[in-house]
Amino acid sequence: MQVIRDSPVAENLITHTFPMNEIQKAFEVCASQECGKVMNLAWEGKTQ
Amino acid sequence: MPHTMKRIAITGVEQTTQLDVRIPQPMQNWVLVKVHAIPLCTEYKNWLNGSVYHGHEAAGEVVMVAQPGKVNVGDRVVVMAGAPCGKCALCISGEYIHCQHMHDPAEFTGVAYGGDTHVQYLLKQDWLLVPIPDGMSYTRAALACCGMGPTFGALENMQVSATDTVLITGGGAVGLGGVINAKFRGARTILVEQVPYRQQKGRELGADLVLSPHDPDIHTKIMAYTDMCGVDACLETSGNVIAQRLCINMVRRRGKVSLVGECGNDLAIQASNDFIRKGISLLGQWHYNLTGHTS
Repeated sequence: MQVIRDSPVAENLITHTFPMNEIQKAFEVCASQECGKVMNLAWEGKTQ
Repeated sequence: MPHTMKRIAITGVEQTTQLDVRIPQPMQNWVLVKVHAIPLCTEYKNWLNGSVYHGHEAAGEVVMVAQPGKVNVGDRVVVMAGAPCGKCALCISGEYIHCQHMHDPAEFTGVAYGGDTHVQYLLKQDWLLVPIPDGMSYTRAALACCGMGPTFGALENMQVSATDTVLITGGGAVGLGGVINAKFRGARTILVEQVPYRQQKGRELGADLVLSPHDPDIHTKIMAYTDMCGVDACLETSGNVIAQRLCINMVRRRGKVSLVGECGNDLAIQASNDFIRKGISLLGQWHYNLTGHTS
């Protein structure tokens, strides 16, 4: 966790963030390989 | 406290749906975590072929426990993968990912999706929850799963330092996380990746040399970059046999190669020329030792 906390570029590994209800878009981005780490948010968007 | 939650399910080739399902109840040391961040790993491959998936990465907040234990309600945590026994020598030593006695989460959670992470609430044994430092977002903390975890473990095992040159094959999320981990240690870093987007991302994250696996001069360039000795350590994250072979060929004598990328295909190895005379070490790395999670 120290590397994640202290690296100045760790956050830049996350290239895309989608709300949970946009999982289709999230998978499309993953499959395209035009991404780093892709995140889903469980409580944002229409899922609240 | 609601009784139902959303759960993602794959319903066919490139098809998904959100289901309303019952929130499982904590029992014994399985605590209820309200999920906030869900990093995506290889689940897209299930999406592409329409197969069932469960997910294995998450970060969230402990919201209910059945008994006093290692976490409290309100704790912000990263969720480690799997359902290891917690009692064997591997689990006790922090190498839980290799536990030979994995539980079926359904036995404890009461539902088939009880161990899934693509949900709004999940159950997890309390000792598999890593505390998140104050002020760190859930998404950033969730990089302690596959984003940066396996390559962190591999570099730890290979004892990579600032005097080393590391070859990373594959620039997906795991390989790019490897670039961050290797640069954090001060090592010179070579990334081999074919997708231009990921090549550029590797440069942004600090890779010193980025090469395409299709470069006909790749061997020459790597050797020239390392004073004709070869790299000190390799992180193979692509799961590609050609990349595995590149690592074995490019690592220096007495160097180390960590296989991180999953691969079901056979790799041909010659004992004499590949191993005995070079004196290299070939290591398998799935995740990192949990006893070192704070570092």
